[in-house]
Amino acid sequence: MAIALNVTAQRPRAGVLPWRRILARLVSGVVVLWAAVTIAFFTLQAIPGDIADILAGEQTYPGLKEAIAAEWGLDRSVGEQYLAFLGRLVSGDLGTSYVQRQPVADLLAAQVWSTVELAVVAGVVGAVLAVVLAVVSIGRSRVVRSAMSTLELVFTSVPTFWVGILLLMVFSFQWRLFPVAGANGWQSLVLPVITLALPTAGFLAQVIRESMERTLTEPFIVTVRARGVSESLVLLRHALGHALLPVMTLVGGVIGALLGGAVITETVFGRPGIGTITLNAVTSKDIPVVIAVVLFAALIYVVVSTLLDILYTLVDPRLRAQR
Amino acid sequence: MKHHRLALPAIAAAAALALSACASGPAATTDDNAEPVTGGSLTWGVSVEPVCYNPQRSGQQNSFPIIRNFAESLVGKDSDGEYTPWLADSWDISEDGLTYDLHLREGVEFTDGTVFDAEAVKTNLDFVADPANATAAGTGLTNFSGATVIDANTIELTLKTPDAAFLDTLASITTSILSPASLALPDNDLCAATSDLVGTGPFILSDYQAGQEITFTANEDYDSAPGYAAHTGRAYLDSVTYRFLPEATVRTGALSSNQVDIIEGVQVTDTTLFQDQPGYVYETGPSTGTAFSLNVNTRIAPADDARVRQALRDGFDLDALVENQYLGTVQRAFSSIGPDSPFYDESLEGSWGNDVDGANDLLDEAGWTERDGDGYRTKDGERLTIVVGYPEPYIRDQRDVLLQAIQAQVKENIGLDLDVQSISSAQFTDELATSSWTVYPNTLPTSDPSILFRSLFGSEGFLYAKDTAASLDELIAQSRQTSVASERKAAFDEIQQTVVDDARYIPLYHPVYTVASTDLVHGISFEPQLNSPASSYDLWTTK
Repeated sequence: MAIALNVTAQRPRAGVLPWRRILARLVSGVVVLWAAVTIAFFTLQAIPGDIADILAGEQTYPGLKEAIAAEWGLDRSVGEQYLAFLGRLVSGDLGTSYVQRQPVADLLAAQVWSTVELAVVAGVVGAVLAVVLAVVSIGRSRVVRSAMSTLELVFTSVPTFWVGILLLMVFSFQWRLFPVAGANGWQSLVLPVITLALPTAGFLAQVIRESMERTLTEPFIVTVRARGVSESLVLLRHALGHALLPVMTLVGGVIGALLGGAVITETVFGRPGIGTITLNAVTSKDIPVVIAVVLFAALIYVVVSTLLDILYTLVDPRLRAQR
Repeated sequence: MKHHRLALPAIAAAAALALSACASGPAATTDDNAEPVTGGSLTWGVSVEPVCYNPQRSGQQNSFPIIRNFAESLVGKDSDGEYTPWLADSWDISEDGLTYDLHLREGVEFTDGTVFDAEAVKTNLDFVADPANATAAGTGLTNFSGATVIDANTIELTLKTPDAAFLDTLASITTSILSPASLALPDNDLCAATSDLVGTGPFILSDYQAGQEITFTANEDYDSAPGYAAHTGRAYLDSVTYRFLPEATVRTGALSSNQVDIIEGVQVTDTTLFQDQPGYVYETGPSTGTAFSLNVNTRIAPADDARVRQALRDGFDLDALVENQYLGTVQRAFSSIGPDSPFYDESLEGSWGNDVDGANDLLDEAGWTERDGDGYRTKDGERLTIVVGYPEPYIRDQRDVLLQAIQAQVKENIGLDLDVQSISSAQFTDELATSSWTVYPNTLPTSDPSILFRSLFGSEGFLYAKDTAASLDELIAQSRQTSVASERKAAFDEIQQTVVDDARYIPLYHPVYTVASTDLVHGISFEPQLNSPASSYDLWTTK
């Protein structure tokens, strides 16, 4: 996990780092990835029908099945096929899309940045919106608070698809403020970002508010207030700062939700990206691409949660002491 | 070898007529008296991004209208089913039907600047016919034996057996002629939309963003329009863009808010927004492929009994179901071939369907007389069940909903358990290999009926492979060996009659392509060989 190693290498004060914990986290990350690869491989085995047919999708041209059999080593035992599959993935070979006749890695590489752009911007907007929602509602009357949390609940529970269509109908079809489709400039990013950011914001705001409310009842806040610090500073510096720690642990889940939501968002808005690739691959039964997307999602998840966990041990002194 | 010159003057005359009277041709559907305008650009909202942009390799119907902008065929096919000049000006067919001399259009160039000539045609046909190149087009060339270059503009094609569908194969987008330099590319570059994929067409690929849109600009030197086109010379438009908008609601909204000029795949419920509405034009394409139909496996009980199949055929009100679901946008089917084909068998209209009493009598007669607790008919304790295995990736246009409606009616009307399941395509491939498929719902895109029927009812086709008992091989062969239209029609009629009579084939409705545009878009047409929207060659705009 080159990315994780880079992070640790940036810290010359090696003695401060909980090496054993970080190592354990890296190992467990690799195990999760390996499990994902294994499940993907054996799911393929378990689908009814011949594997060469499954991999071929709807393509039936002469010589194809033989080519697939050769590339996947289908004449060998399942164990050997599995090892060969692992070996290819480790060397970065995601296989060939027989439907699109291109290396899967090329297909993903060409469109991954569009999804990253969408997910990162939506993640940031969602987080900012969540903080605003939480801070604004805290300490207000019960009516205001319950109105806010109802709104947040709506954000988290309405389907992404529906939100996307609704935003398009109002802001694109009716008022023509934003374009319907594509990835040209910031205008085309606005509606997809809002679509994707709302559920994240709704979910995070609830966590942040609850955590802030808990913090505000703690004794040190009384001390801070006693020093005459203004109430807004109490909220923003002390309560919010403490509330963000538990939020960090949720980031892995949020990223998963952003990636999942991107599939639908990209489809609705006609944007390029992993979501579009996934949808096309599923409808044209392009199984090598589907497998690669699944593994890619697992990789992102593992890398992010590993990095966060390491970061967490650095931030929280109690965990550092455990080394 | 004796040759007779076939219809060159006639075809030329027909083409000239078609040109002079462009608005009256069924292919040119926008009826306006205004003079076409050169220039401008249009944007399509299309439902599917092509998986592969190479015409010789794509089997994806929705990719063809886009590919047609740069890829052209040797022969054109007009809406009457007649073959017209395209890259070949004319052709002579030998009396034994085994030799085709094609006289190629002179002065045509591929858009990479190389010359289109007999050598290029030979390179293409040899390439497509070679199984090692694994092209989708290869299946149409099963009777093709080889090509000989006579001179720069003449090529002689020889067949193994006479084949009435051969011109149709040459008119197919899958045998489009690409620049020999394109064919020399490595395998995995052949599907990508790059400037390496070169044809002779009216447009040149200028910009492509995967997952988003593809843009073509006019080929200024173009002058090889097919005989069925509404004009000659360069395309009217300066450029045309196809945006990939997979969501039907989004396509509709994009058109109504003027963000695109023309869309295809109009959602049934959105039809009323555009049909007969001021400011909009709504068009449906021809239907000459097979109807959306149930292919019933006659070898699996209880459907091995013709009476059971006939009871299924007549046990529901198809007219009402199709009308309810598609709101009049499609036509209920009586026969396997679409009503716009010259080989459509009109005599079948009204000859079957919605005869619940008759269906019940048939089932009583077949011994399915008892009923179980759920109201289904049984015989010897066995429930009257017919499984429908619908491969999931092929489900579209809410066809599964239509099947569920039929399911509900046959349960209610005749106590038959129609068990509709969606299965994986790999599972279907398995079932095909073992002939254990039960009822297979499908549509085949248009081509010569002999090719469609060979696939569906022949022992060499994909459905009844190797089953000579159930096949109509002789009739199919007959329809392909003769080029006399009336003899061919007689054979096709008999096939259509036979399969509907014994209910091994239950046609449901005739699918059509739908297109909607603003009324500033003119010259919308459908390519008769494909039934789908044509290339943007004849489109012009008063925007």
